[in-house]
Amino acid sequence: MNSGSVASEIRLLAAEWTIRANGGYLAQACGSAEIFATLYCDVLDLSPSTAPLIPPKFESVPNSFRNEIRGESWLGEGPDLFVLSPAHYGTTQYCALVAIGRLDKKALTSESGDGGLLELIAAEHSPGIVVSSGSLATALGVSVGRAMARKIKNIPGNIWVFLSDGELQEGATWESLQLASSQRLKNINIIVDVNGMQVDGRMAQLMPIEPIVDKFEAFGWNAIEIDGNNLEAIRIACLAAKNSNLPTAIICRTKPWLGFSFLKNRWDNNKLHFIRLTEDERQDLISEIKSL
Amino acid sequence: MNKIIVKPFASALVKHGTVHKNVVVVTNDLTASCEADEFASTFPDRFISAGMAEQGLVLALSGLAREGLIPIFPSFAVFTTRRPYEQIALTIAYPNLPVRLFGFLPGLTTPGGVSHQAIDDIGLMKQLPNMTVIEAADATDMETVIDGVFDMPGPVYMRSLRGMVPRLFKEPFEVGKSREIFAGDRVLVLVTGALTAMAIETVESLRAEFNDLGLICINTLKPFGDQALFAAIAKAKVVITLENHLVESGLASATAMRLAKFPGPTLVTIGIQDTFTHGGSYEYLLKYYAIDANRLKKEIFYAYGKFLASKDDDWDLLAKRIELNANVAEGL
Repeated sequence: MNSGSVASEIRLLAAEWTIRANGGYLAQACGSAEIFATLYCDVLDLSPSTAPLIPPKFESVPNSFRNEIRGESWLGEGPDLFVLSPAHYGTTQYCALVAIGRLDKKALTSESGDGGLLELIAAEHSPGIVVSSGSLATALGVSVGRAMARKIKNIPGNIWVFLSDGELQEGATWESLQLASSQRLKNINIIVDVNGMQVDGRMAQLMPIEPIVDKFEAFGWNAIEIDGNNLEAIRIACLAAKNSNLPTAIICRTKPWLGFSFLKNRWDNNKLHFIRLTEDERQDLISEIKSL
Repeated sequence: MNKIIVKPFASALVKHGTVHKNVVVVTNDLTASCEADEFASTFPDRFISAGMAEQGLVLALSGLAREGLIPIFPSFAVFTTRRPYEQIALTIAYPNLPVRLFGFLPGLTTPGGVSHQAIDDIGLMKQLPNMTVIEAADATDMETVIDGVFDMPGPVYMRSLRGMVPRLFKEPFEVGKSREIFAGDRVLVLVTGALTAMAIETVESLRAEFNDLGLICINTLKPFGDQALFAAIAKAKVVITLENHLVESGLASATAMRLAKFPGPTLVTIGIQDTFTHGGSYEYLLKYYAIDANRLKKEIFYAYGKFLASKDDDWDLLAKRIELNANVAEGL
């Protein structure tokens, strides 16, 4: 698999989803396409998916019979584990799974409506989702617990957590970071998508979180800062993280407007969290997709 | 006089950890305070000090359980349940994971005031789908509850007692099973937790006068009730609930839900009545919030159509107390 073509495919599929659903988290997919592509193509050591290409319909939330569908099964059985924390990136994950052949493209249409598993805010029955973490700053802490358990049980493999920069505003994130470093965990790494935008607008204006690198280092983590839309930079940083004796955070500076021109206009107007297309944007997006 | 057992949970936890190698204990700086210190020194590899950071701690419990371990988190009930409530709801109760949450310092048993008194913990846990909710009443409960819930596939919250705990029961704890202490089918007292010793003493003292006065101790608040309990409730004319918790969301509320479906006896609720509470000795607080033996006696008399004259002459004695909770190191 070629990471460049996987990244392009993620953008295209997410744009088509947004047109079809008349809305979606397109900027998140566009900003993080290179991260997902590099992780799946060049970093993660995953065994084949144990789930079907077309997911079954929703059966139940977890219950005492434990017969619910587990989104984790699309990621196989290790040794590595990829944990998506911001659940509104679910679309990105679904599109990435299609791009790498773990999900049928038809599922993006047939399974994204009522009763389907490809929910807008992904849950742990959704393909590729390990933790229901629609409430931000949830999945990192759960992953730290899993990393601690794997250390106790001496289980190989790395846990890679995808975090969004908005989650750095939540206190639970920092509690989990201090727990991981205090336990000297080497089997967990974080990739932070720093796109600088939250629902109300620019993070720098609303609730600044910089200096991110210094903060991670102060919490006992190794921190690497890169251009998060540069495939090679991501690959090298992940390699360095794997070889580090400390838990490592890769701070990815990303451009959430990358790929479609109307997104840049939205970025300039501070409205880039959830995309509800205007008619003009819709026509622009359709013509840009056709010219790809 | 009941025999007092010192730190019944501490030794039970070590025994449990000896038998079950997949048990890990995680604490938030209250290790000795919650009787996990013996486990910590016996099994250092399966003990995690996660600091005063309950949100991150509970998330980690979820992760530990997802990898096949059985995590136990003993803390003060306010810190077990209130502070990391969302994390418990979304990452432990929702995925139905076998996590064991222990909440010490129930209700008014601590002089710590509003921050330390868990008056809503049962309610918070009871309303979560998948969660089993238990309250220990004596040393036998604290010794046997951890083994008693081991096979449960989902999460369990246990409202717990520590330090000097009276032994009231011989039979080990069993999930869902009510403990009938006195049979009696006219006026039935239902009690949970630390108030059970007082309820036994009070009811026993009145049995000569009211020979159809019954007493049942309830350990399992959710799922609520077994057939023996439901049969006893159905026969009674008056049911009096006695709890060290808000009546809106504790034993009284569970009993009221049952009576709403199967109407019958009049319900009298003794407990904390829609108020936050303040700090002081256990005896003072029980008296101040009218959850003490005197109140129980009055309600029993009233249920039998009699009036018991008030005797409130012990306020002066209480006011002279200085040392709060001498039984534990930090006085809480």
